[in-house]
Amino acid sequence: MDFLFLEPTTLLIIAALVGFFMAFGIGANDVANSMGTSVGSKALTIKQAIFVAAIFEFLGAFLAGGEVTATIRKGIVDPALYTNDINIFILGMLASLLAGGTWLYIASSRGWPVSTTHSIVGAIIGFVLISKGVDAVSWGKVSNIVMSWVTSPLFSGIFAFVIYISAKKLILNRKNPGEAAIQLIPFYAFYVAVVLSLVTVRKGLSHVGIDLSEGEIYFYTLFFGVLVSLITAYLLRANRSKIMAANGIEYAFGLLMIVSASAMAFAHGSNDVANAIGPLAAIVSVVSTGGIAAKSALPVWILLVGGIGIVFGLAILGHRVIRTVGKKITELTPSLGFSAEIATASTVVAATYLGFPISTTHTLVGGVIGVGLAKGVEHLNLSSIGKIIISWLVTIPAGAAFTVLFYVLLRVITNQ
Amino acid sequence: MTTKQILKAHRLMPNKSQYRQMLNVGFACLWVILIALIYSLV
Repeated sequence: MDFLFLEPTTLLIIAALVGFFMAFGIGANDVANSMGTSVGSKALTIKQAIFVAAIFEFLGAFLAGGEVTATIRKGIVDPALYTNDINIFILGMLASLLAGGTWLYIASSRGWPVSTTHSIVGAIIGFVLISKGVDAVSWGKVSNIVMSWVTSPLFSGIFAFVIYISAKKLILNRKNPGEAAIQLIPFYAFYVAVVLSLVTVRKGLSHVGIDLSEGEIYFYTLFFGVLVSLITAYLLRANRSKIMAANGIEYAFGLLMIVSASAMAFAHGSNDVANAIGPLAAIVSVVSTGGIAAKSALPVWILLVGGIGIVFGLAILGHRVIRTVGKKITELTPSLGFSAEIATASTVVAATYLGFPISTTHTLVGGVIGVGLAKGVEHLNLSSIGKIIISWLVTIPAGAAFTVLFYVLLRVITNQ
Repeated sequence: MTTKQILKAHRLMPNKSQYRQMLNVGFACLWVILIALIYSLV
């Protein structure tokens, strides 16, 4: 390994620490997206939200994070272009992680709503632009990713609209909404559990060395779906008196929100962990094989670094963000919140299934707008939508520019 | 509560001053990229 600018073990430790730093930032910044709605609607306390988020973010990252990681690792640029510039490739990936993490830190401290996905994709594009030029970027794949950024909030918005309308028609507007909730809410829980487990067993488990047959996939998916719906049905029946009381219907949806918040955390972990471990996986692949390998397995410890990093971030800093967000939200009732959460979680895990790195933040924006339209509250005007979109776009050049600065700095420091 | 207020409360949409700050940073970043591109071409 004479060609490396540092001893391989040292290099791996540095890369893992930088990846951990990025995952920590993702956990701290994004946990409010998955849990803020539940805390705001009082379905969960902050402590409960942190506990649920820690478990499901980790499971999502570890069990289903492999597919999107592959896209971040080799989708935006063909690593083969760096066959003769291995050190440059390693420095670029390190710079991308540092840039993504730093941008996330700055944005979080100023309260800017930014996407970790956009920042890492922008960061890698910035590295390729400065090191190999415009033509080296895999623009075909990048345009597919950008299309998924456009379609995901749209899909989530439409889906949230449909879910809220269905809940309104089937439960909220019935003569006895409490009874309807007890009967029908387990079906929503069944749907959430089936979607999540299907994505996990189909796409995620192979990355941690578990391969299931087609029959086993359907068996485990249905088993998990039935189990979750039975637990939900039990909890609803156990709390029948509270649900049947005046205004108790929202208590029933609050119980469902525990399921939808868990789904949000799982979906977020499964998609966003790649933003931290995609570049790390690229570095590990180069260091361990001694070159640019066309195909290389994703070591399980990388998924662990990402999963643990997110959990540390949300546990240490995330509670502050949740508290800030949760206190401000008083009008987002559980019946609205669960619709936005289920729509967002479904869209994000669908993207995870397809290997697209999408923004959970932006998908949730689509979900909230969708339920707002369904509820008939004053909707956004074009100027507000324009502001949201421009604030999303800013992250891409920011990620790229920070990478350029870190890349130059690292090259000077390492004399490469 | 309007959708706009919900999004702002969730930190999903920037307020006026945050939006202006983000725009300024975005422009500065575009300049950095432009300089880097010119440098890499030369």
